[in-house]
Amino acid sequence: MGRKLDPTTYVKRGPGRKSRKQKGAETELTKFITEGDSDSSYNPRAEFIAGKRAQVTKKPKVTAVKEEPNKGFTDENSEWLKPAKRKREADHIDDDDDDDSDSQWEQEEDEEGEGQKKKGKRQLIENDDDDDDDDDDLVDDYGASEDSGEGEKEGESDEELLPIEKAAKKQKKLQEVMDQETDDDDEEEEEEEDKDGEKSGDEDMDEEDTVQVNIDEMDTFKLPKAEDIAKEGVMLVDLQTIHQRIKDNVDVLSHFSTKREGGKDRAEYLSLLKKDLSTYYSYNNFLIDKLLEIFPVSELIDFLEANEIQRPVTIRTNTLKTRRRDLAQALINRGVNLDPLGKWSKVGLVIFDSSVPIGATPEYLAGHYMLQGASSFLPVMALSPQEGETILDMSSAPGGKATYIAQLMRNTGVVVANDASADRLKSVVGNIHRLGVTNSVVCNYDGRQFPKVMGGFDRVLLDAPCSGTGVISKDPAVKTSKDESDIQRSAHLQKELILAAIDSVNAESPSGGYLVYCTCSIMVEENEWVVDYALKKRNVKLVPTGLDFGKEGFTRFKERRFHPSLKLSRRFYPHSHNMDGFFVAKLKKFSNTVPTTTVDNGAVEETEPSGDVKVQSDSFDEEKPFKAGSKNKSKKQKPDGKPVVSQATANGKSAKSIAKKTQKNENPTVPKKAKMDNETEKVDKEINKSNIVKTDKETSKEGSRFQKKGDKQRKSHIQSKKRIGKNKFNKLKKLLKNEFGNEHL
Amino acid sequence: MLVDARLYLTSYVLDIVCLQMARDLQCSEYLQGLKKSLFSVHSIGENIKLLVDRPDGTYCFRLHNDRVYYISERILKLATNISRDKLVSVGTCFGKFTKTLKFRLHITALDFLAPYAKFKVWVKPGQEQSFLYGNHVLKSGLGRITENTNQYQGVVVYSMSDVPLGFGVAAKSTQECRRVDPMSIVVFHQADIGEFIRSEDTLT
Repeated sequence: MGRKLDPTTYVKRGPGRKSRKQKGAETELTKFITEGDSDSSYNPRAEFIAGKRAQVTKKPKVTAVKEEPNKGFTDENSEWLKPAKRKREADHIDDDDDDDSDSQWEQEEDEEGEGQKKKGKRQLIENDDDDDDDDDDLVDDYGASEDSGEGEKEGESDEELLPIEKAAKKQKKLQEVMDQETDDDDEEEEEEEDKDGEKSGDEDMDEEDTVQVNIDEMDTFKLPKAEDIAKEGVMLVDLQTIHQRIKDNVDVLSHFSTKREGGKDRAEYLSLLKKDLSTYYSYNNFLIDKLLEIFPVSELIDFLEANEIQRPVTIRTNTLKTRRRDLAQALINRGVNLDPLGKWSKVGLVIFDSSVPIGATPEYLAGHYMLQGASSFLPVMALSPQEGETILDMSSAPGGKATYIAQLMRNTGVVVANDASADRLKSVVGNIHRLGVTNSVVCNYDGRQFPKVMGGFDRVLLDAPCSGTGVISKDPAVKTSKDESDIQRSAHLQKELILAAIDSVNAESPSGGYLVYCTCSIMVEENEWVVDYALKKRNVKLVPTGLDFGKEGFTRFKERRFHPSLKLSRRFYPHSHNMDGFFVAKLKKFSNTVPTTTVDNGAVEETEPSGDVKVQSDSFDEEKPFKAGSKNKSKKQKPDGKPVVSQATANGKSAKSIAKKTQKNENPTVPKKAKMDNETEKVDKEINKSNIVKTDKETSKEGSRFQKKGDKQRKSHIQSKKRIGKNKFNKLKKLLKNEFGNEHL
Repeated sequence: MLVDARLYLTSYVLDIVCLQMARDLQCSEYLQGLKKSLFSVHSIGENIKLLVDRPDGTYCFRLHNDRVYYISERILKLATNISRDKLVSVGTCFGKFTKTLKFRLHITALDFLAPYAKFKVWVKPGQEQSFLYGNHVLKSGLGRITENTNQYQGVVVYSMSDVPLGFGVAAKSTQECRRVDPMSIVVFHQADIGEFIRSEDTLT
């Protein structure tokens, strides 16, 4: 079809496909024929009907004429190019209307006043009397966009009506429009609301002006007043409303300057959001706060949603016994729906669904594969163990990573799989035997003792016990049970473990000297902070993990600043990578020596300390044993409890308490050495220093500048009072000097 | 001739095991059990040598906490660093000695027994699951059986796709198997790979 070049030549078109299906299609057909060239066959009935039609067609033509000035095309084609006419009111709507309306929707998209059109079309087909117009309109609808020549027909029929008849039509039309107004309004509102839904997402201010109906409720998200919130606390609130409120709140927060309610600041929106999130997703407040610190608000919603659903089940092929291709084939034969895990893994398979239990197939029992989360592949891939090496897995239960290591080494070398829990070791043994690993040793030590038991490993993997905030989808109890103290405890343990792990690595190993530290947590306190701590305390450096996907680790977080190489570590999230939350960092040990502390310097003077100076030194010494303690880590463990404690507590908390205890127990003026080892001896000596205290203070301050004080290290209010400020101390010193000088004189 | 060879090999192994005894006990008692199960019943006696002198180093058996472990000497050296009460498992556990000093072979030894097994039994797919649950093999589930299997001979049970499923003892000789009715037992179940799930706790 194309435009006819000569508009005067008009070829009548028959009714379209749909109209042919309609009732009375034959009658319409006859109308066409009678109007145009008369057929040879004479049909009286058809003639009668045609006559009747001719009377009625006059009415809507009026409205069409009326609308034309409003809606006609403004260019030169307006004479013959008529927009689809508004139809007169329907008595009732036939089923066919739907067909019509649907088909007409497509063609009317570019025409204005869709609502009106819709209404018009709805009233299309009813009475036989209206068929004439229907035909025209039908024709118009189907032909208007395609064949503009159709419009000419209408034009012709318009001219036939006398002005008086047009007026009559108009009158009638108006009346019927009035009746139908309520219906129209409904329609229009519906449409406008639909538009609302789309447009409130964009913030097109122009369009908002045109749709004023329900704008208020959507646009300005009002914070509920205090009474409302109180009420909500008592009543059970509908989750739907909360969910909607969350969405609106996030929307406002993302475009705060434009969408905020006047007078309300960001904190109020945030506090409401926190409350709603806790209610809707069942988290405790602490965790929501922590998550808000890590994620931006929109990403937080994704994260929370992702934690509600399970990650897909993944398995790892045991290449000691089979190949991935063969395994996949065997499982498919059993009725399992699976796929390779991704480009980054050659042994992983993801299971979509299965008609047999995946953990009990004969292939599983024969040790051809192991059920393992996708994120657990990553640390072993980062570790990349070579054949013939000695590897330690410090926290190996249930044995997935240890067996993967053995598989990569092809049963050469040695894998030492350690775990602190004897119960969980049973699963390690079971898996090792099932998968056919022969080069393993399984032992039950606390990881912190490991350098004493055995050292000199080529590589060490430490999957530290953590708070589990990355695997909430596996264990929803984490949502409510985790607390500040839990995180601190985990972080403390992890720091101890990582130092022990570093000490177990042999830096001079020909092929290795690597440590991989990983956790299944997303908290910065357990991840970047621990690695940063290790960087400060030992001769290690971060190296690229070899994993090319995943988010980089944080180099700064809130008020903390980490070493810039932390961005070589990798973070994985459930909502962005579809695997459990994970953190992986690879460290290389470049020297076997343990770095000494910077504070223990200068000669020790056994002068009588003055009261003030002594007080100062007390407070300063709290930091010193902390650093001195690290020196003793490599020393032999004494049966005495205290040194062990000082070794174990890396951030010096108990070292501090030891120092304080020794100071309190013994008379500081009498430097009687305690039964303790060198560390506390040093403390006693340092108490007696007077001149060097100042320099010590400075150096200790320098050291502390780079050391982030843990919560336990921060002095309590009472302790801090013991310190004199620098200026005051200088003044005091001068005073003393003057006095001393005077005395001499 | 055959008897001589077996004795030779038995004593060979006896020497090795004696040397590695971690506990001060009557060697002979332990080894009686070992001998019986490993050599008479399962008659891999001739192939023990292959297990011990392997191309990638010498392997040995070591007794620890009433269990017999099969490890290479290199790992053995490393494992000596670990104190006895903390050591859970080394290499592969072959089996354990019961309180009455009988030696019970574990399923974990299957990987090493299977290649050297002289007498094999293949089970039909339908009966596979039943065997994996710990039931004996009935005549109706018997697919194939090696010729000349004696009665009470140690056998390794395979699935039709040649996946080793476990081991047991032949209840009837091959000749008898052919004649007997479908519901009678032909292989007594001793160990199967289903035990990895069923009795994970007892593996340690």
